[in-house]
Amino acid sequence: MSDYYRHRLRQLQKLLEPGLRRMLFLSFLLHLIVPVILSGILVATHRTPKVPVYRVNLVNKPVKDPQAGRPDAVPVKKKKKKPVKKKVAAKKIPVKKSKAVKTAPVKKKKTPVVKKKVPTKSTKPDKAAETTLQKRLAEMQAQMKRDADMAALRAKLAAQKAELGKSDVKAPVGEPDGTGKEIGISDVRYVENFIKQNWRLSQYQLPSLDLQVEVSVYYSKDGKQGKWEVVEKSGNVFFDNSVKNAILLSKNLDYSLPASGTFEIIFNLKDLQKR
Amino acid sequence: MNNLLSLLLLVALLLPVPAQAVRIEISAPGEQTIPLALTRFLPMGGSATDSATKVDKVLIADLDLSGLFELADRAAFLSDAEELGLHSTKVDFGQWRLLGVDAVVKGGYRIDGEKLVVEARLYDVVSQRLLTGRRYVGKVGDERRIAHSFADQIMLALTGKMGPFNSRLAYISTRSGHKELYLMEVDGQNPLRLTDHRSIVLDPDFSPLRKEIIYTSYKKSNPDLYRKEIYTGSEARISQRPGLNTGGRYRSDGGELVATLSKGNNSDIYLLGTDGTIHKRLTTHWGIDVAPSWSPDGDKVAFVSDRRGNPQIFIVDINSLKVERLTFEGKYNATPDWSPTGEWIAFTRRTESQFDIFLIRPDGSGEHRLTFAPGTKEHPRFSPDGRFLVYSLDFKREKSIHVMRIDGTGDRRLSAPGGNDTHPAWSGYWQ
Repeated sequence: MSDYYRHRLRQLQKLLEPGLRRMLFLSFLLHLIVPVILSGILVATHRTPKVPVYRVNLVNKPVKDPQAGRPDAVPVKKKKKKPVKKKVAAKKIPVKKSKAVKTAPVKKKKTPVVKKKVPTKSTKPDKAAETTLQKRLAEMQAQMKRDADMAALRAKLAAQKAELGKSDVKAPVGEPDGTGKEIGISDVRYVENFIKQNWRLSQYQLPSLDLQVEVSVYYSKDGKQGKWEVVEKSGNVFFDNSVKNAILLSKNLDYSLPASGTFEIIFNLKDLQKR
Repeated sequence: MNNLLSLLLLVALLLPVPAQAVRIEISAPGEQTIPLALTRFLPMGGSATDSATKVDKVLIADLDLSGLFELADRAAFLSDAEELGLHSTKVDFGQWRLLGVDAVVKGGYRIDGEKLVVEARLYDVVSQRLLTGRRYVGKVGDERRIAHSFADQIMLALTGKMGPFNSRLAYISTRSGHKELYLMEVDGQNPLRLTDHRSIVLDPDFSPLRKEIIYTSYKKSNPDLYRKEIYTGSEARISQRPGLNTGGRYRSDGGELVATLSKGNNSDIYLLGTDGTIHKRLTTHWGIDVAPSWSPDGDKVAFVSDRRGNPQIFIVDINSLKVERLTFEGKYNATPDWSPTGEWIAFTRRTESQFDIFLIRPDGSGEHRLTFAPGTKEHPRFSPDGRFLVYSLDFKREKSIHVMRIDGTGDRRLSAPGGNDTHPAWSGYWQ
């Protein structure tokens, strides 16, 4: 039987094309590649970073001198850290050079301890140990200095926070249109927003939205309204009256301006026309 | 020479330079409604009755529909709300300013037997002046009418144009078992049946001059045009030509009317006298021309025609008889109504499975859709001031009358449930 099968196999092999085995093997290898490709091992994984979500308070009114964002992280670090670094560097050098003698002028309480230890020099255990000790002492002194500075900074920050406590919670960071800075909106934007909030007008009052009024208003440095006049009327009495009411309601800005001055304010309905 | 120049330069430098004014542009108001305090009307002598409540209810509904106001919460009112304050010197404007309102309504009433006297005032809180004030004398029971009238006055004082609240709506209802003509107030109250034809009444329109309505009725089997005086009830058939006599619309001066007549053949638009005599044929085409509507100046008529295949809106000049196509979008546009301001033409268009209301300018620009809710909306008609639209809604096998502002907001149902109400028409100012 086996001879019969071997014979049949040889017959079949003769029928098969030469190189078919190799082709079948190659095909098998190629088929193996398919699941490998599909598994995604060969493809570089691309992870999209999470888009940060910013919460911008567009509702609250602008506040005087707002400390936006994180007041505890603002310029304080930059100002105070530098001198700390300098002091540490300045102290390290003398410690290394004059050893125990230089440690004497250190103001901190621990210096007497150092003094006491210095006499042990006579035993002269070994220079390396002494150097290590001095180094550690200098580090401790620097650390103490840093702690003291940090405590002073924290106290100062707490005082600032207490002062700004009323406003920093509501502080708007910039404006929706991209104006303004981290420290708050500009004075001009404040005046604009303040008067805008006092301007009440329904579009159903008007036959057309193509209206414009120009008003000139003087504000003193302390935000008090002075003389004002309508420079250009719209021709629609209801529109004009609404603008006059807005100016009358904006007698006091509750805000100190950098300087007294005149504001030329144009009232129109461009935003409503766009709808 | 050099010295002189130097001196001049020095003087120029020393002269005070005027500070540059800061320019600010405010392109929208901070609030787009007027904060209004509506105080309860107080008795001017005598005991309190429910008159104040009736006036109050109507005023609140009317002012809310106007979309102009944001009514202040009465719980926040201070002591001045309990004062009559019929004179500006007796109003504590400081209190109202504290509440952030720009206007305040105050009023009182007195009843002497059957006589009712209502005093109403509207004050500007910021400028502390009287905007409008009225003294109404009527009978007990006239509270609704008085309140509608004062709501119109408030609109006039704050917009320069009377409100439409003291007008009437005519409509067709099947509440009696037949399609009859009814009349109701703008807020849907006090419906009154005007006809008893026990047939089919359709398509009413008010006369701009008299308290008179024209409509089509099948009373005599044929769709004929009728005219009815509302208070006397007298009725006359003004056009009984064979075929259609429908879609009668008065011109704004009330002198003539347009209607669709078929005279047994093809339907066309005709200009008629108020007695029904034909003055002029406005369209001559093999297509079906129906549903005419006057322009406010009375020079043009918008109508529906299928002369180009599908029903579309066309405009005919009544002097030159030149016809221009208005709508090009949609496969079925119908029932045009020209606004009293002349700015818009409202019409209905089939959108997928229902009809919706659209607005278009008479020059074909600015076309936009107003309604999006489910149900078929038909027969849009403008209010006399052009601020509102009334229409019939066919939804869940019930037809009802609705009103909305012309920007599509403030939609509300007017007719009571339980009847098929269609074909609304808005009267002129009801004196």
